[in-house]
Amino acid sequence: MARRTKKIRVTVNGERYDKEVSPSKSLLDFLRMDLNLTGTKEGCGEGECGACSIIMDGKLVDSCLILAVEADGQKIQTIEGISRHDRLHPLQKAFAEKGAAQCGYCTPGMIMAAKYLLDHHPLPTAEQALKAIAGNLCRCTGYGSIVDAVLSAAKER
Amino acid sequence: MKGIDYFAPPRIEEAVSLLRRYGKKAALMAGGTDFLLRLERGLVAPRVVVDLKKIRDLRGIQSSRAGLKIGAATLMEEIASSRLVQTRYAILAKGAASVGSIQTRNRATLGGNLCNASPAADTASPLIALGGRARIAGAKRVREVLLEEFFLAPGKTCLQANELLKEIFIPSPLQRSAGAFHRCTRTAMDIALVNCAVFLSLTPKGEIVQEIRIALGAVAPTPVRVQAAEDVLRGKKPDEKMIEEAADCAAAGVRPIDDVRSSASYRRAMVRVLTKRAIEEALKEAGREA
Amino acid sequence: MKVVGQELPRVEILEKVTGQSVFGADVRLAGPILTGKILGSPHAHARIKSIDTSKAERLPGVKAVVTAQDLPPVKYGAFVRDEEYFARKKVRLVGDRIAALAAIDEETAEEALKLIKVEYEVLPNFTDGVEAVRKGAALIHEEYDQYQSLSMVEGRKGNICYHKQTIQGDTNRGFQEAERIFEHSFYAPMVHQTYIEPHAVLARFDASGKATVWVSTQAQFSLRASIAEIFQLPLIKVRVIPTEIGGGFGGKLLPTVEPAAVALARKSGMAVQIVMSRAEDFQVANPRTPCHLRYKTGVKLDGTIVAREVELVFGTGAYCGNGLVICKRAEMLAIGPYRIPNLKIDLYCAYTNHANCGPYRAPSGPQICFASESQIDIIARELNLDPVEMRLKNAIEDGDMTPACGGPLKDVHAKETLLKAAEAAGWRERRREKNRGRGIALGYWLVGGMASSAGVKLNEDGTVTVMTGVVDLSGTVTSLGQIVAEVLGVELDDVHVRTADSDFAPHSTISAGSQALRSMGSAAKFAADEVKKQIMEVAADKLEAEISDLVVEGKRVYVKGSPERGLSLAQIGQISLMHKHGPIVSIQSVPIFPNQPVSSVHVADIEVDPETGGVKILRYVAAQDVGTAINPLSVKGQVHGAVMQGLGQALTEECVFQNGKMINPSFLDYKIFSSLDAPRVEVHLIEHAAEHGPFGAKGIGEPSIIPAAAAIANAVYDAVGVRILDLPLTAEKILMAIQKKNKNG
Repeated sequence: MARRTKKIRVTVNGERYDKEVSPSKSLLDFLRMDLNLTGTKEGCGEGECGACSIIMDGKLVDSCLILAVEADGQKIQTIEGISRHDRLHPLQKAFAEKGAAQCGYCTPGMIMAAKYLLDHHPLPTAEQALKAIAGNLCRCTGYGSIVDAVLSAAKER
Repeated sequence: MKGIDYFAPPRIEEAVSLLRRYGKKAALMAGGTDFLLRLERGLVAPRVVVDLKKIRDLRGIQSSRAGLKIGAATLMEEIASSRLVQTRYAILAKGAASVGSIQTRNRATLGGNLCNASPAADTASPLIALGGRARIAGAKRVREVLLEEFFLAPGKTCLQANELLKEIFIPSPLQRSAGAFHRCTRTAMDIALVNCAVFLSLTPKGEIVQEIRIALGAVAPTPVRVQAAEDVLRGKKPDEKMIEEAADCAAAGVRPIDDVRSSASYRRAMVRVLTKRAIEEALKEAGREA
Repeated sequence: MKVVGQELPRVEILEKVTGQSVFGADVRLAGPILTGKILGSPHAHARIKSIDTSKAERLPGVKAVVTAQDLPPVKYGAFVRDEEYFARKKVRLVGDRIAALAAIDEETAEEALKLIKVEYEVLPNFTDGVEAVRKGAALIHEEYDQYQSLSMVEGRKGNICYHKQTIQGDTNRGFQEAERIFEHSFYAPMVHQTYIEPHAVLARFDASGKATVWVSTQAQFSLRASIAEIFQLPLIKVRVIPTEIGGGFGGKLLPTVEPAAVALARKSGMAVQIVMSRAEDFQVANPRTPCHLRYKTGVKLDGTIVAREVELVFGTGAYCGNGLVICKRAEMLAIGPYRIPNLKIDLYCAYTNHANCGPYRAPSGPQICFASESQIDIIARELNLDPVEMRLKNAIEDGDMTPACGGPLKDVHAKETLLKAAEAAGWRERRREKNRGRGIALGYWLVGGMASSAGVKLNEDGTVTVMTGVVDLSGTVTSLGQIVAEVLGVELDDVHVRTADSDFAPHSTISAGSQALRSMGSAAKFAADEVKKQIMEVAADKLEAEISDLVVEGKRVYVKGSPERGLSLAQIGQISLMHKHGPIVSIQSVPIFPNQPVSSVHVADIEVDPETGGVKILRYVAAQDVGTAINPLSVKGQVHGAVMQGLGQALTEECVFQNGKMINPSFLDYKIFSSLDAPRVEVHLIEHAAEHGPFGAKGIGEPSIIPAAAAIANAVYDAVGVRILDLPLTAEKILMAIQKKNKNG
């Protein structure tokens, strides 16, 4: 059976990529397999856990429920793109300091969700922080240390 | 999922034309949050996917004296955070804000939520309560259908082959109108076990319920309007006993099922509780609207 | 202490917050990697009549298909050898492995899977342990009496894979002496760890016949042994490389996808990756055992417990797997942390047609605590006693014993932990408010400790390397670094500690059972002590001083009182290479540890909505007896996470079955707490250095999952006067109970 592929052009973390993809490939798989950006994780494949969260076109989205072809022409930011050269983003520093990552699997998605919050609300309340990560499941931390990290990072910025 | 073709036409006419060309082998998608799940699980196996996101005519929130127009491909998050919707059509903003996580709402569209036709759809009951109308585009001119007649069965709407939902229209609310939207869930982030939307308006002196619509979700094969419950209050001066009677009536007028999420009897009990609470809240809000 | 006791960030944290950490599905190799998939049975219990893989094999892009025919006919199992990796004659759970295949991409693999044709003869299935052991129930293992088993496996018969009765004193006499007798039956359904990373493996089989397996696992040595057994290979022909692990909680200890990947790698000659879908992980991994519990307790009117009979029926799954680990724990915990002169425990482990249940964080602990502590609460209220007072009256102390605990207990701080939690929660000062309630529960756990070894070496620039095979779940690796740094007078930044693989690491205990830090930490400390001795030997020689006059501190070794008479560790490192001593290094071992009691006490303040039955947690206090907190940040992190899992089990989580199939294998319908459900937990650590354990540290990972369900159940009763005896305490159940209570006046 012939496989149709489509050409897409995406900008990921400031780098432009021209690739050919099968229309049925998810954006998550495209990032992880075609671009080897394995920082973004798959936790459920159903848009329930948020481990695959990225920022596309300025919006926080679950990449497992987006087709790679839908990302044609879009600007995407993943966990690999939020630190500058050797300087960590304040969120990354805060997560490290506050023990907001234990196993670390939900962490990339969680940090992207936190970044999306801070990009829109530079000085959030604890309640806003809790709401901002409501779509990111964590089984290790109980979320308290994550909220502490978000508030701490906000102060530092 | 092999050999799928993907199109993202810029105009409605082209989308309709693709539907005519491929017939049952074509599937529409907008946000994709429901569609990709169905695709992944093999519940649908289209040859062609028609992505509606590039069609400008399907996006945007526009207000006029007559009412509110929302393009079918407008994002849930846009509706939830629109000041306009929050102030004048608050129950729709609340419903939209209840759809999944922020990640979901940044992709999911109003049209997708409605056309997926889950009885639990959180934008459906608010729209029915607001008297919303679906405007449907096809090969011929645009036709209009009341939201309460839009849903036929779980997963099935009144859309014919080669038709797509273009926009939703909500008539301007009367003076002294207010609504309430309540949901019952297992955890905070959850599909609704039951949802209830009430929209009512009081007479100018604020004593009598001039108009009221009560819509419930997840307790019947489609989102439903419970007119018998509305009739208890319509044209009356509401008191506690009447509100309870209306709530009882609503509970009696639904057909919930047992499923892994909840039992039918619990759903029925929650219809009573949510309807009562929603009516009380709406009355209080409308009373304040002097 | 300078390093131990500090809240230092995890050593690998920067890789985690930048997305650089390599988890199971992130492993990449030079060269193509095939996608592997496993075909699981659609039936919970059936005979296999035929398997036809020919069409799948012929599909272009499929590189290998394997079934039971491709493996030696080995039956394995830690306690009962009742399992073959691929089903041969029978399937015993939905998802039981029939075949596996590897293809060039996921789409091809999925298509090929559909082409495998299997004929079944469906048999009646049992997902409930009590049903499975009823007279006349169809046998899940018809040839059970031909299986080999360890001698400690008693009472194996039919669908019962274990039965043990423990008697102390005389419960008949005890009940006669009792002034009140209470009898209740409880049920705790299956719940799942839902680590956010599903099982994932990458396997390669090289030309020399060696299998290399990159895998997210808690137990690399135990997995190596399993793979070696299944493939009949010597241990040195199996290399297990643990990747970063995205959560385990006892669910990544048994072989799941790894043997399939190895078999496919061997047959195809290529690397094969298998990643479980979330739905698969829910259904065929190793969740918590469902359990029926019956408690009969006799007490005096003053609250003294004089007799207790407990009957437990665990539904362990289609194969015994780690089922007896759970049973052994249950025997120790069943009667609670109380002094009871007359007791009888009847413990049954039944085969059931669902996933092999595994030792999910504190196996048997939460179920038993839910039952035992609910009943203690019931008794206290009936007798008009304060729930804290009643527990204080009966709680164990140093020198007491509980069944099978292995000897008089030491470092028991049950009473202190109870008092601390009560005080922190303001137990004495409370205002009663309608529909609001408070519940307390005393959780009991015994931490074991398995044999372990670790190495420490001094590098020639004064930095230190720790050689360990322990997988890091709770920050163990960082804590090991802190322990070694403390001994050698350096900072954590001067120590390299990461998990080495099975070819190079000294034999390591599993990362489970709260004992990784205890065992591995002890081994690492002994190794560091040895290295310190060697440092001092070289220094003594060079400085012409007595060893007893030397101090190792501040990255140097010097003469007490004359710090200028010293050498840096870097110098020592270099000197040793030229010296008669040679490189400074040591590997030390620790044997199995005696059981160590750990208490955790939770106090929950809740509000119940009387119209919906919904529970809102207003305040939550958790106290835990930790010995010494090597890294308080890690310890508190463990308590927070454990509480959250415990609360999920209490309120919202349940694996629901219909005709042998789990009908909610997704986060849509298996509800775990999100940030909006999680209460803030106030954590209180009780620190008294324990006799065993590095710097007196106790095991920390498990205890705080144990009392959550009981605390909530007791709070619900306090709030609205209804007692629910089966988990989870959903809004629906609570509402129904309230309505029933109101009807009965």
